[in-house]
Amino acid sequence: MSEVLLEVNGLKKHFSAGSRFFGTPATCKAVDDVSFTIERGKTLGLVGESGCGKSTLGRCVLRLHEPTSGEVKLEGVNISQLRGRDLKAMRRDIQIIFQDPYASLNPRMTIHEILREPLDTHKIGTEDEREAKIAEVMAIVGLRPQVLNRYPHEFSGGQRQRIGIARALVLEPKFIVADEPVSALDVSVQAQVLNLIADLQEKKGISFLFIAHDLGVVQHICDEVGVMYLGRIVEKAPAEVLYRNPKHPYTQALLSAIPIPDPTASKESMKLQGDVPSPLAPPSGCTFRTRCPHAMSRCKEERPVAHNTGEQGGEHLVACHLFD
Amino acid sequence: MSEQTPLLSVENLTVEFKTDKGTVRAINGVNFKVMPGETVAIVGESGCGKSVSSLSIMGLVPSPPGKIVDGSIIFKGRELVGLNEKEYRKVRGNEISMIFQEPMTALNPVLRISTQMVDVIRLHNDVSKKQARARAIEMLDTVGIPSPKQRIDQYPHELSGGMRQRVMIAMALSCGPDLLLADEPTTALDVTIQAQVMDEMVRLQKELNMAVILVTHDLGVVAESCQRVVVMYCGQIIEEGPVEAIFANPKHPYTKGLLESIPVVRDKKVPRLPTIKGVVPDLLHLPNGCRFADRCDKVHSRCHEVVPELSGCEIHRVACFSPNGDVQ
Amino acid sequence: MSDAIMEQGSSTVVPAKRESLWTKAFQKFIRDKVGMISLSVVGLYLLIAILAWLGLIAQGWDELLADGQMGPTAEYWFGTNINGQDIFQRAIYSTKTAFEVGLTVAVVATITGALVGSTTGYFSGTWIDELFLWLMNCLDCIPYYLMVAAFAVALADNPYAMHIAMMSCFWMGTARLVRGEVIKLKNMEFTEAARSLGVPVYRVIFKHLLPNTSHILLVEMTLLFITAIKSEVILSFLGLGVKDSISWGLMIAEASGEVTAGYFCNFFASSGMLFVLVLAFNMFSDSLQDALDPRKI
Repeated sequence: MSEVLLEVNGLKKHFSAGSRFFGTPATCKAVDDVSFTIERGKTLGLVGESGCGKSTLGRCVLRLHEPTSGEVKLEGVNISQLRGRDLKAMRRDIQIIFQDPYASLNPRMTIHEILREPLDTHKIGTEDEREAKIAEVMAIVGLRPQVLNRYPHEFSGGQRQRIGIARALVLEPKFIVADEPVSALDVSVQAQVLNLIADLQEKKGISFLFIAHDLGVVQHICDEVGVMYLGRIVEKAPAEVLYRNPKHPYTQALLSAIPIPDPTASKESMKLQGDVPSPLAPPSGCTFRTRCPHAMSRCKEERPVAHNTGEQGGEHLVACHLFD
Repeated sequence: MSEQTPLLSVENLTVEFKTDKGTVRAINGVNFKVMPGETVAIVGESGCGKSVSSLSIMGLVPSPPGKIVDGSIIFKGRELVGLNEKEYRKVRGNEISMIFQEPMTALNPVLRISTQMVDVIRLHNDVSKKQARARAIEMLDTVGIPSPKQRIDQYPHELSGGMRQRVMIAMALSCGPDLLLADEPTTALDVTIQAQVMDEMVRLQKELNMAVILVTHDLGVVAESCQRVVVMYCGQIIEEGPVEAIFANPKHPYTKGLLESIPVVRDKKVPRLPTIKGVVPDLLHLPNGCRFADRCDKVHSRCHEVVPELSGCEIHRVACFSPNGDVQ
Repeated sequence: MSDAIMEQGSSTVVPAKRESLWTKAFQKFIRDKVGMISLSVVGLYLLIAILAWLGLIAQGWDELLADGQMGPTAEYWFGTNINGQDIFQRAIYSTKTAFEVGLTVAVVATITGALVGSTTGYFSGTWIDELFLWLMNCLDCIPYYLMVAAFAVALADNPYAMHIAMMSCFWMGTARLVRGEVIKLKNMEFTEAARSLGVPVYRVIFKHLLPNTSHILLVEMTLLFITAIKSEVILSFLGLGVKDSISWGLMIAEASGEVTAGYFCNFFASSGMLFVLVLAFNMFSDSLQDALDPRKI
């Protein structure tokens, strides 16, 4: 099962910020040269804090944002250049689940209309087949069919998120981008939705790009984890490897900053000083050097390139001069 | 145990809200005490009433539609329920301070930091503008803001989220309050910034010997910074006790379920996260008896008839007819 | 079966019937006494207008019936004007004129504004948006009354010249309002979801974005109705308004001569009826806005 489903090469997304009339507009490099692959049936987790570009990256894969440069290949086909009918057809294979359960459903449409729309748009099957499909996805996410003619505001946050997942499943996609799907949910509801996603991975074989800021959530769901900082992936490794042996200083800081729900646990915490630099004015060389406890003079001049430091043939990419 | 007088004593507090669909009891008969210099966490999920509890203490429950219908809040021997606005204003900021979740919106975007801080200091203390400004700079330094003399003249949008939250903390502490209410102070912050801000808060609390009520849903933050925990569900306190006891030996099935369902970084991946089945009941249609009964593994007939009261030993109490670990 | 699939998401009591935005707003509105009273007053006016339009009442508004300038009598409740016409019948018939102007202008201006606003909102920043903004800015530069006068001359003898002039000016306010709302909505995740599903652009605008502005459009429409009626009063006063019919504006214009001679009936009748309708409609509009406010639902 090591067939590559999604391949991202050198993806960049730059936004221009600032006034158009006076001075040169500043460029915000939201995604700055990101590459990775995801195999069929596997899940890649992307973690990072606000401003690191993970949400923008997710949307670029789907072409909700148009990438500035780079390519995205789904099953070998370059989807970053598709237009018209081909683009529409591609949409059946990649879907997205959003973070905000309150804004991701149209408040004026019933659940039935929300789930019916993708089927009608792509003219899938007969009338009966469409209704059967809707019933099927409702059952998968655990909602009773009687609630189909209700409106989103009549449901709780967790239930709305399930509806969002049902909508993503209706077209039978091969790949789903999950943009912080549980961040806005209560802890007990989070667990229910995470179990649902785990079921989808197992029973439907759907690959996920799971974007989150909570490292605990990511470990539970993902096969591989990538850590992003200011638009770049600074470390990427299989989940157990990353958690057992984080190499990049940022990953170490991130892991030690997570509060542990155990009052007796002792923590040697690596506390970072300062704030995340603005993406409009990233530091030269390694963008993490302003907060890094191991910063050297080389870090100011030269940007680190990702190297594979994996043992026993495994992959453990780290972009840090400590490992050059 | 020495008999200390509690700094804050909330007794039988009940708050109702009028909605289009009827009257809702956001909190119902809540009792807890806070000792001087203690950090107490109020935890629970959305709708459990934890924010309403802290807003009631500050007298900030929006009214209409909300109203304190029963109970008392005694702070330093003085009853707070029923105080008029003028009297309450003397207490707020001065003796009890509050910090909120959203640093983006909690500061006035059109006023400089200096204006906002100096206003608060001069409201409660008879000092000149110069003295107030000096005190404000001192507070900014205490909370760890670099170059406070320059930063104080900036506008909120020029600061990052973590800094804004620290400014809020500085403002809240500028008059040396005895009690700080922190309503989800780090939820909107990145995890590395959260760690910094929580560290500052713990350090300041120790230095100033200030009591803190931390309202949050993040049990990790609670474990690291609090001494006592109060767990709320559907407007009632269902368990309270010292933090070590609550985490090591949760007695209420809800607390236990909550702790088990947190996805923490573990040594090994677990195949499925344990969950609490069902959903939180609608506050407009509360079931008879224990509100957790429909979701509980250990439910029996009595649970559907009578609401359990908080009982147990003095320091660790639970509202349950068959608490974990106890012989029934 | 796994835990997640067996979990039924609703062990809570969920309401038995569906509740759209409109049902909830309706229920809320019914409880608003002021809203209900003002709605009844407006309804009464509407009924009068319909009856007049159907030819059932006030058909003798133009006839010279009696001596001029009589005070209120049993036969002529509001008296007669200087020409001997029945003021009461004229005032009643003017209701039909008012609703005719108000409704046509409000509906057409709202529809035009909604279409332009939603399209420019969705395509904001592109040439479509720039074009319409430029057009609206140009039209804004022309003083309103001059515009109407120009239409009156260009469409000489067309009884709907005034209506057309009003429609061509009023749509812009609505368009700007809708544009602002659509710009906000198109960045929300449900719009992104629609795009990610491959929903075509026209459907995103008409099925997703525009329905979410309907509460704003309804309130705008009621406000345009009132603006149209008030505008008509001034235009008729200036002689640019209604031609072969009677309206409150024309009555007030006539009354300006009579008032100096001490006969107030014409003036009171027309301005009184106008005042009550505008007041009732304004209050209805406020209550409607409260009932539809998405934050309060």
